[in-house]
Amino acid sequence: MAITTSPELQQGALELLILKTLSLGPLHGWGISKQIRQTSRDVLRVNQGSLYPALYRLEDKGWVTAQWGISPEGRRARFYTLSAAGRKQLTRETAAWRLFSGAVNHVLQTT
Amino acid sequence: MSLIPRWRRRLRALFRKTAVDREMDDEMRFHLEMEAEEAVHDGMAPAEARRRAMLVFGGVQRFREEGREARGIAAIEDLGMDLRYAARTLLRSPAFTIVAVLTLALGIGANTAIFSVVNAVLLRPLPYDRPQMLMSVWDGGHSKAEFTRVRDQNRTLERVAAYMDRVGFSVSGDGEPARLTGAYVSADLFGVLGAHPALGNTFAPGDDLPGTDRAVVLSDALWRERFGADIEIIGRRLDLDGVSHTVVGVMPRDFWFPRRETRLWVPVQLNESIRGDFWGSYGHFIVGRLRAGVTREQVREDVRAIGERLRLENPVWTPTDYYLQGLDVIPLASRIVPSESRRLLLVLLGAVGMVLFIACANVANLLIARGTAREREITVRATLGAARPRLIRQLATESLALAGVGAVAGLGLAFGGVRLLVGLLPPETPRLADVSVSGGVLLYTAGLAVLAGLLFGLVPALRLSGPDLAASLGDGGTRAGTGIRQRRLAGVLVAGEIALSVVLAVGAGLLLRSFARILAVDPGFRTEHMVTARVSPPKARWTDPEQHRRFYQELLDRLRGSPAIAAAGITNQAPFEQTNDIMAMWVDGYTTNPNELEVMNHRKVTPGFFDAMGVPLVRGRWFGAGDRANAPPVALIDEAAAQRYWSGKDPVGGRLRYPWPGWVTIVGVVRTVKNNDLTDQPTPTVYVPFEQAPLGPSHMTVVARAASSPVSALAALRAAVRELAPDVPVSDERTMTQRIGDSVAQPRFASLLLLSFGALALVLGAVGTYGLMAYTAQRRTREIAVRMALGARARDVLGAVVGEGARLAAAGVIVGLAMALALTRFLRGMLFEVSPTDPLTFVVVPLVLGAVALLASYLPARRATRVDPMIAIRTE
Repeated sequence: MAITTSPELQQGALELLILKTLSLGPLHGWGISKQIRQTSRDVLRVNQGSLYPALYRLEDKGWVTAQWGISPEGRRARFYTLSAAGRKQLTRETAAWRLFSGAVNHVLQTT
Repeated sequence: MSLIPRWRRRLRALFRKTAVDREMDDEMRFHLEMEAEEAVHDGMAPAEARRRAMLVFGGVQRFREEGREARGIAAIEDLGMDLRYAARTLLRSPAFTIVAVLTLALGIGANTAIFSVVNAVLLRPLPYDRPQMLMSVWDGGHSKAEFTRVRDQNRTLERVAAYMDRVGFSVSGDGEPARLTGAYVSADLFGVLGAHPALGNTFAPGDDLPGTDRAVVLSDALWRERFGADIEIIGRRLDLDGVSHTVVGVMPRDFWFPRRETRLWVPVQLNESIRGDFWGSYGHFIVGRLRAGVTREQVREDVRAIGERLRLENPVWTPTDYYLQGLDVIPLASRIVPSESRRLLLVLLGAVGMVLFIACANVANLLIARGTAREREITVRATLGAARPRLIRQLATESLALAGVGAVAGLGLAFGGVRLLVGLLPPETPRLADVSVSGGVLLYTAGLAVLAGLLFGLVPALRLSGPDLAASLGDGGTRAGTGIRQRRLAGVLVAGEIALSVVLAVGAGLLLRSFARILAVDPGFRTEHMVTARVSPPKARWTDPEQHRRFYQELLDRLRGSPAIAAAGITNQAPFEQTNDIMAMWVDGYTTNPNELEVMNHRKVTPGFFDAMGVPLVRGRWFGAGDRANAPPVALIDEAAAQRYWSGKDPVGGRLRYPWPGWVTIVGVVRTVKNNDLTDQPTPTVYVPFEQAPLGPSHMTVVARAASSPVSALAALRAAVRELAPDVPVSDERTMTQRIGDSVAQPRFASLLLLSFGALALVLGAVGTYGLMAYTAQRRTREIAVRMALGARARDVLGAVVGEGARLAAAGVIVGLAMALALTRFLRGMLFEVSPTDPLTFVVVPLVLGAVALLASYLPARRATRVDPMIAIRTE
C-alpha cells in the first residue's frame, strides 16, 4: 500500500519529513521526494503539488535556505539546506511526533 | 527568526515577479526532466515518460498559484490586483467615475472645510495649562471690589484673576500714534493661566496695587510689528494714553488672551480708596482655576455666599438679587467661544453632514444601477470559482478607491473652501487665525472617506454577490421583472435624499427669511454716506477739560469747512461701534429705590451730531447755543425712554439725575436708533450736551456725512486731527454701511452657507431622482413598448412612470418635513422675527422640491414613451 500526501491533511507531517530528509544534507526537490519514497520503502509518495509549496513555506519561515547548484547528474537544480532554526524545529517536531504517534498506537492497542 | 529577511524575500517575490516565476519554472522543469529520465531508465519511451511526468505533477498553473501562496505574497497581490482591476473598471466608464468622484469630492470637501473651522474654534484646547480647570467665575462683568472679595474669600479656587477685555490704548512716543486693543488684567492673570513669557517676566504680585511703577506685557505680534522683534525691549518705556509704562515681558507667539487681537496687557489699578472706581466700574471678568476635586456647583455656592456678604459690606454699590440669582460658573472656553459661534458651527456641521449623506446615497444609487449592468460579469466570475468573500473584497476595494479619489479631490476643494470660510465668517468669531487643514483634519477626512466608501459601497456589494446570482446569468438583467429589490433599495435611497434636501432647504429658507427681516429693520438714522472714526487724546497729557472742549470745537470747525464733509458731529459712542457706554440714572417720578436706578445708554453729543446722523426730533426742542457748561443741565431722551418711563405722558419738562445730586431737565424727545445690532430691543437712551457731560473727558467718535466719497471724507478727518493734535491717534475708521454690514455678518454667513448646502442638496437630490427614474424607465422600456403597441396612450404610460417618482417624492417630502419640524428648533436662537415652524417656509419648500422631483422623473419617462416599440421589443 502506498500513501500519497495530500496538502490539507498531512501538511505538518510532510514538513517534518522534509526537515528530516534535509538533516542528512542539502538536496533538490526531486531528490527530497525520491529520498522520502525510498526511506519509507515506497510507502510514502510525496505529491509534487504539495512538495514545492511546502518547501516555499519552509523557506518563508526561514527553516530552510535555497541556492542554485549543479546536481550530480550535471544539471542546474535548486538545492535546499536545513538552517539552524530548521534544525531546532526538527528536534521539536520529532519529539512532538513521537509523543503523538506513541499515544495513537497506545489508543489503537488498548481496544 | 528575524522578520526582515522574510519580508525582503516576500518583497523580492512581489516586485521581481518575473525572476521568481522563472526560478519556479526552472525548478519545475528540472523536476519533470528527472522524473522522465527515471522513467526512461526504467524502460519507458521518452515521449510517454514526459507525458506521464506531467500528468503526475498536476496542473502547471495551479503549481504556480500554490507556490506563490506558500510564499505569503498572495494577499498583497490580491490587493494590488483588486486596485488595478478597480482602476480599469472605473476608467472604462469615465462618465460614471467623474460624476461619482465629483459628488464625493463636494461632500467630503465641504465637510473637511467646515470641520477645519470646528476643530480650530471648538475642539482644540485653549493654549493654557490644564485649560479644562479654568472657569469664568460669576460669568459676567464685575467691579474691582467684587473681584478682590472673590479672590480673597473663596475656598474652592486655587488662584483667581480678573481681566477687562477690549480696552483701547493710545500709544504715542516713538512712531506713529496708534490705537491698540489691549486688556487690563490683575497681576496674577498669567499665573492663573499657567502661561510663561518668551522674553522677560510677566507681572509681579502687587503690580496691580496703587503706587507701583506701571508695567506692560506685549504680545508677540505687537513686539514684531511695532518694535521689530527687538530683543533689548525689556525695560524700554512705552507711552500708553500719555502715561509711561515699562515693558516687563513679551509673550510667546502661540499665546493669546482673551482673544487673538489683544496686543498688550496692563495691570488693572486696584485702589480701594477711589471708591467710585473700585465699586462702580464694572466690566471685569473673573477667571479662576478650580481646586482639585471641586465641582462647578460648589464654586457657585461659595461665590453666592461671598455675594451675600458684599451686600452687607456696601449697600449702595451692591449686587442686585437678579445678579446673584443668575450667578453662573462656566468653563473659560465657553466664555471665550460664545455660544452663538458654537451653535452656528454645530448647525453647519450637521447640515454639511447631511450633504455628505446625500452624496453617498447618490453614489450608492449609481453603483446599484451600474451593478445591475455588471451582474453578468460578476456571475461569470462567481461561476468560474471566485469565492463570495473574494468578490465582496473586490467590490469594496472599488468603492474605497472611488472614495479615496473623491477624498483627495475633496481636500483640494477644502483648502480653497477654508480660505473662503475664514473670509466669510463673522470677524468676531474667536480663534479664526488658527483655522487650517491640520493633521487632525486630514485624519477626519480619511475617516470620512472610509466611512463614505463603506456606506455607499457595501450595500450594493452585498447585494451583487448575493446567493441568487446564477438566476441572472440567463437573462442578463434586461427583463422587466429583475432587479426589483435593487430598485426598491434605490427608491429608499432617493426618498432619503429628498427628505434630507427638504430639511436643508427648510433650514436655509428660515435663515434667509430671518436675514431679510433683519436687513429690513430701520436703524433709525441715515446710514448712507456716513463715516465714523475714533479720536483718542492720551489721557495723561490731556487732563484739562477745557483743552478737550477747544480741541473738539476746532476739529468740528475744520470738518465743517472741508468740502469733503457735508455735516459732522462728535459723540462718545456712535451706533454700531460694538461697545456701549451706560449710566445709572434716577428718573423723577419713576425711580423709588436709590439701590435700583435705571440703566440707560448715555451719549454725550456736540452740536451737529443729530443733523449729521439724520435723527429727527419727535417733540420738544434741540439743544441750543445756550446749553453751555454753566447753564442749567438739559437732556434729550429717545422714544424708548419716553415710552418706558412716561408711558404716554409728555416727558418734556420731566427730570433725571445721575447717582449724585443735581436734576437734569428733559427738553425734547428724539427717534430711537439701533445701538449695536439691528435686532436689538430698544434700550432707553439719554443724550446730554458734551459741555455739560459729567465724568472726565475720554475718547470720542466723530460722525460725518460725506459730501461725495467716504474715502475723501475720512482722509479730510485724519488730516484735520493731525494738524490740530499730532499726538492724537485716529482709529477704527469705517463707513456706517460697513459697520452695519459687520453687525449682520453672522446671520449673513449662516444663511449664505445653509443656502449653498441647500442648493447643493437640491441638485444632488434632483440628479439622484433623475438617475433612478431614467434607470427605471430604461428597465421598463420593453414593458412600456408592449403596452404602447397594445394601444395604451402615451399619457397613461407617462403617468405610470411619473407616478412612481411622485410616490418617492411624496414619501421623501413627508419624512423630510417631519425631520425638519424636529430639527429647526436648534435654529431658534438664530432666527429673527421668524418662527422655527414658519408656515410659509414649510409650504413653499416642499412645493419646490416636489416640483423638482416630478420634473426629474418626467424627463426620463417622456423619453421612454418615445422609443419605437419594435426596437424596444427586439432589444431582448
